[in-house]
Amino acid sequence: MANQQVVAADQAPVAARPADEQINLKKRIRPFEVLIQGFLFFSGAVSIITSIAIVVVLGKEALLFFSTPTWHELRDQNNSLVSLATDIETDATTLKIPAGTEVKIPLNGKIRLDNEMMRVTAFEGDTITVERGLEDSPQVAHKAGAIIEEEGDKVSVVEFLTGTKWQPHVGEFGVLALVSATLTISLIAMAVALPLGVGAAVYLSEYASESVRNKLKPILEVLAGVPTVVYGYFALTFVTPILQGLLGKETLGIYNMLSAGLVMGIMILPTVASMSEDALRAVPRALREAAFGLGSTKLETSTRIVLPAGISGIVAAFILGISRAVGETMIVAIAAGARPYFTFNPFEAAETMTGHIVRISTGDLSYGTIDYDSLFAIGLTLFLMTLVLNIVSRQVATWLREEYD
Amino acid sequence: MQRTRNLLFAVVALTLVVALVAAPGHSTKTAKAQEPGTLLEVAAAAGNFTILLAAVDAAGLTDTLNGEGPYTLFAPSDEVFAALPEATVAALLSDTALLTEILTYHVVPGTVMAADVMGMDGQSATTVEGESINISIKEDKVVLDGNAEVVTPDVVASNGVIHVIDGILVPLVDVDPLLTEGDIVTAGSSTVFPLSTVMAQRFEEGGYTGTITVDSVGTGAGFERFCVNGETDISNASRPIKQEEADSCAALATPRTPVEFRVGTDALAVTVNPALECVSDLTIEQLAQVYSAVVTNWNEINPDCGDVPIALFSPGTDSGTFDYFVEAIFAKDETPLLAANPQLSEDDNVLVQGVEGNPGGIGYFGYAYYTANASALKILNINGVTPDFETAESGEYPLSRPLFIYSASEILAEKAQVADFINFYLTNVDDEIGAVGYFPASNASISVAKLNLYIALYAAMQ
Repeated sequence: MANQQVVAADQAPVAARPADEQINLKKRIRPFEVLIQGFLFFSGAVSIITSIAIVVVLGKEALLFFSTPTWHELRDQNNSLVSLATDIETDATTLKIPAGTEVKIPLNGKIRLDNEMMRVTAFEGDTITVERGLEDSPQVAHKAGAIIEEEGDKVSVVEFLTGTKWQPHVGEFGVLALVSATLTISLIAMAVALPLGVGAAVYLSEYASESVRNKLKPILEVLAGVPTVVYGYFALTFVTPILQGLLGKETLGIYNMLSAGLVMGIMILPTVASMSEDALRAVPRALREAAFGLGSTKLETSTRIVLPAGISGIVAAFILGISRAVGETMIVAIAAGARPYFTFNPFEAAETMTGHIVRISTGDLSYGTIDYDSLFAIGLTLFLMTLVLNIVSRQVATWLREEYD
Repeated sequence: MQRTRNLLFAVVALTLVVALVAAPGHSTKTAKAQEPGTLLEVAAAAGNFTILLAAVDAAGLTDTLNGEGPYTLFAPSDEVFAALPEATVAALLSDTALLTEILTYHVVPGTVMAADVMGMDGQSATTVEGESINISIKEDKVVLDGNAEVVTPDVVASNGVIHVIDGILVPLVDVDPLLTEGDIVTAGSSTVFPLSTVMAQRFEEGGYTGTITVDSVGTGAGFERFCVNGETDISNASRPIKQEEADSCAALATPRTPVEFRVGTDALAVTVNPALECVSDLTIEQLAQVYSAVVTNWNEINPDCGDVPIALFSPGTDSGTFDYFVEAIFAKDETPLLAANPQLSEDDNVLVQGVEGNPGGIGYFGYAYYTANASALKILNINGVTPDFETAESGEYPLSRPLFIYSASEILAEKAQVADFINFYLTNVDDEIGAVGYFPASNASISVAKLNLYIALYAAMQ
């Protein structure tokens, strides 16, 4: 009806035109349509642009991290700190260190006093000759007792990716200490979420009657709406004491990865269950009927026919669950402990990548320090991990997909 | 002990007054026999008022105080002045008018004996300077302006009477929070945080209508906001400001000159899990061994403990508590502590829960967090000393430290509400600090803080 009207309206002016004038076949510009299209495009673009911007920022700061030298305190033969022996004035170029201190200072190397950087031009006995106020650092007077720092090496990517100690204040930047906890907790979470989630999905899709399913599914999805901070305190104040009672306080400290992992499993359970259930429901009804027709029991139909048919959706749910577990912050910040520690023992306290970022950035972190930049390096690693998981999940889903219709 | 002595003084003074009134003839004879000199002569003879006398001389008040009077002089002894930082003394002596104001605030016209004052709780006495001193009676002791206690009353002179006090009186005007407006932004030490929160609350209950924010971010972060970003008015600190922080303050677009106010004393509480009955005392050396993971099992400290691995908990590296611990235990070298990989958190509650939940847990934090969780934790003696009010104040407990709030003279000059709040804070902090869980600063320290505030405000008015 509507189409006909439009055609009729268009025909009227054409008929009125003189015969020799050509008909304008160009698309008419409809401003409102353009506006709508622009807005829809913008909506889609926002998320893409934001993602790109985040990657750029992460990459830029992470690059700074790998290109900034570390600073560490100068130490003498007894491994004690070396400090200034006498006060120095704003324009003095020689420093005294305590007599009898044996210390290695590279010529032309950089040292730092408070925030002022200096270049060592000569070093003899207990006197260091320096060039002051390098790189626009404030050239000020320093008091005796100020601790001297020297410039160390940059953190290499290999060191970052293979080191097993994360102690920024001591110059140890091995991200594996954080990755190990992230992986351990995520694996525990998946060990909980996968069997329970798939079990729930099979029940809802194959066994439950329509009316039960319609009631149960929304309730299950409510779990997904519980704020993660609530889960965090649930882990710390409810699950951990129970686990301590079962395993003994000697085995399990108050902060441990086990409790955080279990509760995280509960948290992602609805996601896994709901997505798997959708995948199972999408399996054509004809397959089930054929199985029943051949004399299969309900169990046989579910496990031999429906599950294999829906496996690509279940794998996708599994990978999405892992992505959520890897990125989850609040539960681990509250319940998993507050020290980076390379271990896969779930009874230990260890900090995940997200937990570490949160703890460090809530304290005093000056812009431009290596600690600050290190957060972006962790963030980038985390981003890459979830990106890889997502790509793998898409690949696996495509690979396992079975077409029936 | 002191209480008894003060009571004794009061009784003696009372007897004297009664004797004076009852038998004037007799008392004249006694007075003649002693022949006390003028106020200043009596003070000079006592020997421990040299700085006060020098100040009186510098302010040109010698003749006045040697004159007819009669005057009542509240005299801080040399020990009180010795607590003054050099900068404060220099500022005082460089300005005669300022010095005169401060000194005349210590003088009340007429002869007021201790016994007369005993009945004046909650009242005030107008000084020669013009402002009045608030009088309160606490445990039979006369306390002036909240922070100066009369330690030796009724030293009689020919032209008046001297009462020796343990603080300096500062002619700050009483603050009425009702009349204070404008916002105040504070941030800093998590240790000072509970105290500042209580003071802010009390200020608001007094009728203050502006907004006061108190953020708990750690001393270092507090100074960063104060000196690098210049966004806070008051910085809470559990250690004195560092030179480089003061340098940053001076390098701001509108430079800031930090002014320090001591508000109390904290003792670091070293606590273990209550189940750990075998340990009740650690030496500083043992504490260093434990926190550098040289010792990793409690049976290495005491064989009776059995096999209990040590679980270390420590405040985060940005907290003043961490800085202080590293300074006191590891001679400023944080590496051994951090290499031991303790669980670090800026949130003291995380530490309390950690120690409570691990059988071998050990943690340290401000005393307030211990008192708030005393039932869940066991506090250790350090070098055989139990932390309490006496040992913290005397410094006998090795892990006690001062608590400060900082502002800047420029802020005090510009924002009246900040000066009002600090004034209010210093005047009332002793009423609240015990309940928060810390130990009050000595009267001398509080009077130094008040003096700093007064000098800053005085300079702003010029």
